[in-house]
Amino acid sequence: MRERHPIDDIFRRGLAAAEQEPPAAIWEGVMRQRAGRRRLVVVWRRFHWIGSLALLVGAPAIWWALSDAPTPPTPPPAQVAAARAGAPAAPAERITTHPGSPADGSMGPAADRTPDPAPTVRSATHALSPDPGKEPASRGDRARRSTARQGSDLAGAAHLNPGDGEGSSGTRTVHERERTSSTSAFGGSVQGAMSFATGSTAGDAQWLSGRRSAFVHGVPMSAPLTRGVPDSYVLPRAEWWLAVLAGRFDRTRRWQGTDPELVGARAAVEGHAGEWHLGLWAGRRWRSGSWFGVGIEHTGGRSAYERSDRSQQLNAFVNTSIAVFENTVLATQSDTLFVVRERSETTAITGRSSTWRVPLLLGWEGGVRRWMFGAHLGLALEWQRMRDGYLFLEEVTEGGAVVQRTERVRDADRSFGLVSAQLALDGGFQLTEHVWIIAGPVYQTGLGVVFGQGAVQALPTRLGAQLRLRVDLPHRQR
Amino acid sequence: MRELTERELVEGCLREDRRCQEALYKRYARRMYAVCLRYARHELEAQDMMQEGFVRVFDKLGGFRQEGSLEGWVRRIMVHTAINQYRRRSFHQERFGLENLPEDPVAATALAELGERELLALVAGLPDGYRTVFNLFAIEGYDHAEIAAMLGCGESTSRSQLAKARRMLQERIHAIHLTTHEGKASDR
Repeated sequence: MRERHPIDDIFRRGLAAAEQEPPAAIWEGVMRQRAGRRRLVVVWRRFHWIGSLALLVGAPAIWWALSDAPTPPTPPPAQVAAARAGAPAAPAERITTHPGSPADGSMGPAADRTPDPAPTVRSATHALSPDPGKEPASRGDRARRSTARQGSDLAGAAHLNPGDGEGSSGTRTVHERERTSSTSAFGGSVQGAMSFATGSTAGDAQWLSGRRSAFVHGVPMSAPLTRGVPDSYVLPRAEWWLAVLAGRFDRTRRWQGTDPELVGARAAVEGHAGEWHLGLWAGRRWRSGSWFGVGIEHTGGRSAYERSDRSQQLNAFVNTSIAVFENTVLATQSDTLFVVRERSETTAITGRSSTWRVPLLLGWEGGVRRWMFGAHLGLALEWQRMRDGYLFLEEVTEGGAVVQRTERVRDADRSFGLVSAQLALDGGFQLTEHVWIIAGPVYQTGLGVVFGQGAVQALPTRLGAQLRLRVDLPHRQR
Repeated sequence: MRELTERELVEGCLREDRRCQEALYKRYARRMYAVCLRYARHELEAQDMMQEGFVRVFDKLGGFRQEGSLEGWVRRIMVHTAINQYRRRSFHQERFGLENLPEDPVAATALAELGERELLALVAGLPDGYRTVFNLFAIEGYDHAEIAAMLGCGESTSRSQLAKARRMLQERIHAIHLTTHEGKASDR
């Protein structure tokens, strides 16, 4: 139960409905504080699409860039053990050791020995020592042959000659091989390339799949690089592409028409408006980087204009009465009546437009690794449909009486066709072999009206940014 | 000009109509300023509180569902603004233990002589924690559990502060009462 106390009652009665006059500065402070916030909101509302587009373009690009880092091959356990025990240099290690194979010392006669570099040395020696029954191979051939062999072969060789690693001749052979490896950078690189190309270890396979950036256009990822580019493969001379696009534009309009008064009135109230573009493009791109495209786009826009006027009219009526008797003024009386008339008028115009565009585009693009840059220009045929609505509010205060008048007018829909030009810069990133994400600033301007109705027409000027997702259609080999 | 209804005021403010905003402010400013004075340590703080509160009112007006009274809604925002300021000052970190406090009844005649100004001055003279709890409990009608949740303290702390606030107010009212009677006696 709620505790009751006389003090509480007294203060509740005295203060619950208390009123105190606040200083006028508080209201000014409220307005000032809100105006500052509203400016930020207006800036955000006007330019938030730039941030959104940057996020749309930047986030996938950063993700792909970060995920592009090659994963180093995981060393097998035997290599780790050998490295801990002071194993020889990298070339000898790469040649040997497959987990679970006899060569790594975990199986076979040498399994109970203390881990030392000997198993590695032994297997390397036998893998690389020339077969006395065959012609000596060149240095590169030897390396290729040794790395192309499977671990079991190497292990078998080591198993058949267990004493080689302990003999003086075996040791000499190892030193010779080490010297060869360390002095021959070419041999080392070939070994590395062969090693991951044949997919001989799990770590190499991971490393290969991680190198997405290394793919060559048109060459399947799984194709072994040792075979080089397939003979039948040729870069496509040209290929078709499809793109979906979205854009955000800041639009202003230039008015023209046969009624100069109306044109002037519309131009006076014209302001900036935001427009979204959505569209579909298709085209063909040549190996030189040049391309052409056609498309269809739809644009919706809404503009608002509001104007308020206030006027105050002060009328003074003076009524003078003079009493005269035999040319003598007996009395005068003046009554002055002041009438204040306040009038406020608000005019709000809301304009909506819907535009279909059919652009014809020519462009060029170049690339660095997976990044692309370019530019394009074009002409477009636009069919624009406009609908404007007006709201007039009038409030007249006179002698305490208030008269309000509201009028809504809706213009008839107007539609007309125009030709516009477009200029844009492109920057893009290759997401996969056939998919690109491209973005850049776009400038569009109306050139002239080609058909239409009504006394006024509007030529738009748009400045904004566009984001495209382009898919290159796979080239069919004949 | 006719007085705008609450709905018209709210809709006008949502349209950022300056006249409606000013009308809303003028309608509730006097009562809300008194609320702020009750929670603030001094007038400058009350003015800051009121300004921040009204900015929040205009910012959050879209969330007003027009189910209750607009005045109650504005008042709640003011009280929460005051509590936020109180929490910012971190006075709730002070530790107050429960004490066995005497709660002598105060003569009704002594209190009847006090006007709004005097009552406000008495409340304003309380330490921060006492004042906030007393306002929330005695005038706004919150219970100790709600106050504890709002201030981030325990219910026992709320009870203790309320008891101490009452005792302090009683002492001061007694002092005023005595001074008044002494004054009257010396006049004779």
